[in-house]
Amino acid sequence: MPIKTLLKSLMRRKFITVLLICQLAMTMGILHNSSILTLDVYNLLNQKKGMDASEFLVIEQLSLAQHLRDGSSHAEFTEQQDIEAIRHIDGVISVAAYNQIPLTHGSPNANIQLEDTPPEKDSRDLNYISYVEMHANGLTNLGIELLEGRQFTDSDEVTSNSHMKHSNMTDSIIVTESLAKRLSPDISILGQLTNRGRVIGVSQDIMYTARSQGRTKYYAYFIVKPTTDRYERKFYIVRSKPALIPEIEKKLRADRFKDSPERIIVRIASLQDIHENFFSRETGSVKMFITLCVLMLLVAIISSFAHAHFHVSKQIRLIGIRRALGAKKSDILKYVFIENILVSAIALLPGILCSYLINIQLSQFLTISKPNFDDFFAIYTVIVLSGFIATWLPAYRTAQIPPITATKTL
Amino acid sequence: MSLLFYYLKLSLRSLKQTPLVSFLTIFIIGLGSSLVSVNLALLETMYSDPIPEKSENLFHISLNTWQDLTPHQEPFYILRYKDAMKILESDIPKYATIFYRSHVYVQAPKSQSDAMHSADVRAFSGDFFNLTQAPFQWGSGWELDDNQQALSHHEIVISHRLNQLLFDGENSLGKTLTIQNKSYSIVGVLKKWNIKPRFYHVTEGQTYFSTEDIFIPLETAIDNNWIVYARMSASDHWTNMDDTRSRNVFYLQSWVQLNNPQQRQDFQLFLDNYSQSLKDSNEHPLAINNELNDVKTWMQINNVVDKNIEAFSVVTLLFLIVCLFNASSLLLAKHSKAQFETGLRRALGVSRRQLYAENMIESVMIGFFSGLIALCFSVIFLYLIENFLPNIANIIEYELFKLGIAFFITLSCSLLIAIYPVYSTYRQSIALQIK
Repeated sequence: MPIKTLLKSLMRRKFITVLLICQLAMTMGILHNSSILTLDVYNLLNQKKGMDASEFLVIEQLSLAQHLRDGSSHAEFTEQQDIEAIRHIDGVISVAAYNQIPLTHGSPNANIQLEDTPPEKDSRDLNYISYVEMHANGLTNLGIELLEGRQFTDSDEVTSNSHMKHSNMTDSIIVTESLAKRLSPDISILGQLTNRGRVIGVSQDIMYTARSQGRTKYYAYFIVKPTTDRYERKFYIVRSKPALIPEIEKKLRADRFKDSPERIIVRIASLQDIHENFFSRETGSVKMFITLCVLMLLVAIISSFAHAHFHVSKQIRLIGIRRALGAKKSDILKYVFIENILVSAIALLPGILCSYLINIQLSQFLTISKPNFDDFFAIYTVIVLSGFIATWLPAYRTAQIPPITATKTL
Repeated sequence: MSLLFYYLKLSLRSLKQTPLVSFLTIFIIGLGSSLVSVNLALLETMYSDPIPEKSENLFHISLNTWQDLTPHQEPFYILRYKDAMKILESDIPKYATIFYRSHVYVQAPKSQSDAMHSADVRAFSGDFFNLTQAPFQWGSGWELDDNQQALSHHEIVISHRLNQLLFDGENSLGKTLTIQNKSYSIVGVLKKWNIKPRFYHVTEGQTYFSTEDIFIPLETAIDNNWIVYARMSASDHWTNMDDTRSRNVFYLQSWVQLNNPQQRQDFQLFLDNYSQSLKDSNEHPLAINNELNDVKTWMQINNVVDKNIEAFSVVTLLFLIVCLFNASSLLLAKHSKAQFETGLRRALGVSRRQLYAENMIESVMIGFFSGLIALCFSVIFLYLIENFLPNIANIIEYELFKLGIAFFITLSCSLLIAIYPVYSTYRQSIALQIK
């Protein structure tokens, strides 16, 4: 099929062809940028966390009654009963109480600095370090390995808020690897004194501030402290096999963890779900773009269909002559399909341009990666294929017209 | 009139003659314009002035009183208790208020059940209700003493929503609510009140939150250790909310109403003098930098318009263009198919003007049907956005007026896209058309 003939045929209906090319180019641009956004959010949700979130279930509790949050023996007894009840559920590997959970916004936080070292010029990245108050088995429960130093023991427990006061010599803390490198890049931080206590260990990184940039999302330090004496809100993190999490959740809801005037169970949810909900704005935005993509593909299919339909109505006599001169049905099908591919090929360059322009425009509102050609060609293939499907019906109908009918007006 | 009916009849017949093309045209215009209309309606709400009567006279206060040389931002939009109280001391503003946001669980009245209800709280001192023009259904705010503090520490005002939930919407003045094991007397019930955007608290992504369920005196909330559900920064160690009264803990936001430029100038001077007095006593390490921002400026500084919606608006506009191009192609195909009939009618004496009028009527008819489809799609898209972006769900309204925008955009679009196909058909000679 000579391309020149096809081009000539397209030139005869410039307006409708130009419209189709513009539509395809814009569709490619929007689809490509939507795919970039989707990949960005996918990468955000799958960034290195330092733990397998699917293994954990979180019980978030709000103690309303003063006697559950005053550090008294009654508060400790109640907590111990909770922990025992959770431990006895089939499938539970371990459980511990914390003042905060990983993989979200990293609060409460405080500043941290090495004692006896001159203050840095700019230490703003050390102003909001998540501090995790927990039971002595807190790190083991989260599956965090220790890279240096020793694990916490019960004797490391801090019984007051002393660690929040400066230059405390007795409190023991464990810092994450990234924070250790930030605080003491040249020598080991083990044994060094910070304003939050003495470093007894360095753990592998775990993400506490999921929205922070770079390494700062892994900055955190841990301390052994009862969760019954200050915070209204506390978290039990339950470790189990991922497949057993829904069953354990059901049992927890049915047995012990129900709302009462003394305490509220704010939520019982898997850590994986909590992490994904934390990025609900981003995932919501992607869902909107995906919905738009589906609609755009639908419109692109209608567009290709309309173009082929228009073409058939215009060229019916010409096709009839061709059939009369010996062209087979498959030749007619080929003719319509190749024309569609040609239009898609012409739309390729404008499509790339559109993609870049839309990307620039979107980057003014959203954090979006730069376009790349690999993704673009995948999108291009989808559009060509959908055009192919859309032109099949008009092409088939045209091929079915007998030459005598097509040429009857000659 | 009879001519109009005649044209309508012809248009309907024309649509019936090409059912697939007509349906696709109507569907595509409706789809494209509904998506754009929904986004425009949301943007309109986000850009709107939440309190037009006095938005130019209300000012948010930011001070620069952070206690070391590495502040989080300069000036800081949250204040210490001590600084906030100083603002209330001034008699320059017509109204002044300081507040923080908290959250509690409310026990249902005894006649009902033991169920606990989650409730947002605004704890404040000063004239919050007058400043924000909160509408009361019953009662009023609590009485204030000369220092703008509540006379009683056991009185609260509740929202219309909470009153509906706990008292079935009946007058609950004087009734008692148990909040976290303490009892409070209701002295006021608000009418439905939903400021969009909620200008008085646009930070920490809370712009599109609902107005609160419970309003309580600041001192009561602090005494009861109701924690802050917003940004809180401290350079001092603190344990209980009570500690925040005397330490460098920043968590309060403040607004004042200044009715004229002179008042604004005087109040700026008042703040600067206060900062200078702190500096003189070595309690102000940073430069004096106090800011007063009116409602619109404060909303601009805090980028209240949702970026997702702005970005989505750009692509939906392109989507509409694609839809219009598509619909135009379809119309062209339709007209092209009907060329012989058109040529014949022209040969029999129908003027171009009559044909143009006939086609415009047909476009209006297409626009009408597309508008109906656009209304349906608008509701669907609003529902989807409400589910996909729960952070802005509070501003989504299924208002007939706003949905009507979709209808008119659709009508205009259908007229616009008909221009070229109609022009292209009638510029051809009659001979060529009936050949």
